[in-house]
Amino acid sequence: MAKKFAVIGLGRFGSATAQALAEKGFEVMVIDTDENKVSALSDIASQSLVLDATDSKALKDAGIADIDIAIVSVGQKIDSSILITLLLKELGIKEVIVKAVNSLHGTILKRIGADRVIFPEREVAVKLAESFVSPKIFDYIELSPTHSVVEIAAPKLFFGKTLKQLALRERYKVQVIAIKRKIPFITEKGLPDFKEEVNIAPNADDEINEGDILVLLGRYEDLEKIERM
Amino acid sequence: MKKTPANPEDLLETGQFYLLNQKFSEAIKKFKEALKLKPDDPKIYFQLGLAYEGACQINEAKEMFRKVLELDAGAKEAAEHLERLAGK
Repeated sequence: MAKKFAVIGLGRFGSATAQALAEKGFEVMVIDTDENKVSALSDIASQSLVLDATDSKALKDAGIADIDIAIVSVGQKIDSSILITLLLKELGIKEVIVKAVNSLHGTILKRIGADRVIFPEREVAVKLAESFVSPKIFDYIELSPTHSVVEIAAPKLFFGKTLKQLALRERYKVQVIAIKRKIPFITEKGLPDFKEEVNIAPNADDEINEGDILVLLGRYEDLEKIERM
Repeated sequence: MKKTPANPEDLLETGQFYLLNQKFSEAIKKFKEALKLKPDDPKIYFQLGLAYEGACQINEAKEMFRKVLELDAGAKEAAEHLERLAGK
């Protein structure tokens, strides 16, 4: 039987996790004290509950004991996350995954029985830092926890090919939003220089040249594949 | 037939031709050859910097523009390019 999930705490991380699980076809129970956050996910959740998860009785009444995996992400509220983790383990949840805000928090969570502790902010930060040190990435905008826009130097393999030939959307699941090109010209002093031309929403017949910067939209992992080319 | 030794002016001109046609890797090769023959010419460093910038090799480009400023502190264009590339 497919595993049942509960996501407690519906901030950006919790909501994205719940959505991703629902998209993969899992049953997801969503819990938060904020009614708006809960109702925002009511369409995709198998059960959406407004309750205080630090309340043991409320959790029990909600049928939390049927859940296989619980994901706790209550933001900066360290005390709540510790208490909820403890309650979930006491109620017999097999796997409790908790988002920690710092290392000490992580250590405490592990001591009280969290099966897995994650540091998403740290993980995202590391990925971001990695992308900034990459000489091929010129700019980076995080649109959501899964999607971003990057400005990336066109890989050599793309030179001389049209967007149609490259079929980036089909092959790599990324969209080319724009192509930035440096157009050389001769200055009054007789020396070359560049001016930048931005081709927004390029056509399928537009060709990629050496030195072009591609503005791409896609999932982090798909963009990374292009960066590694 | 004996090959005529390359002179820096010819190499610079060929490099410039490639640069203007957005063939940045080819331009880099020519400017590097020109530098071997004329290692203190800020104009060659500047154009090599442009070719690197064109090819998205930013660190190399910055290095060349800095070199231009070392040789000619008043090189406004090199300073502008360096500023534009700061943080990239």
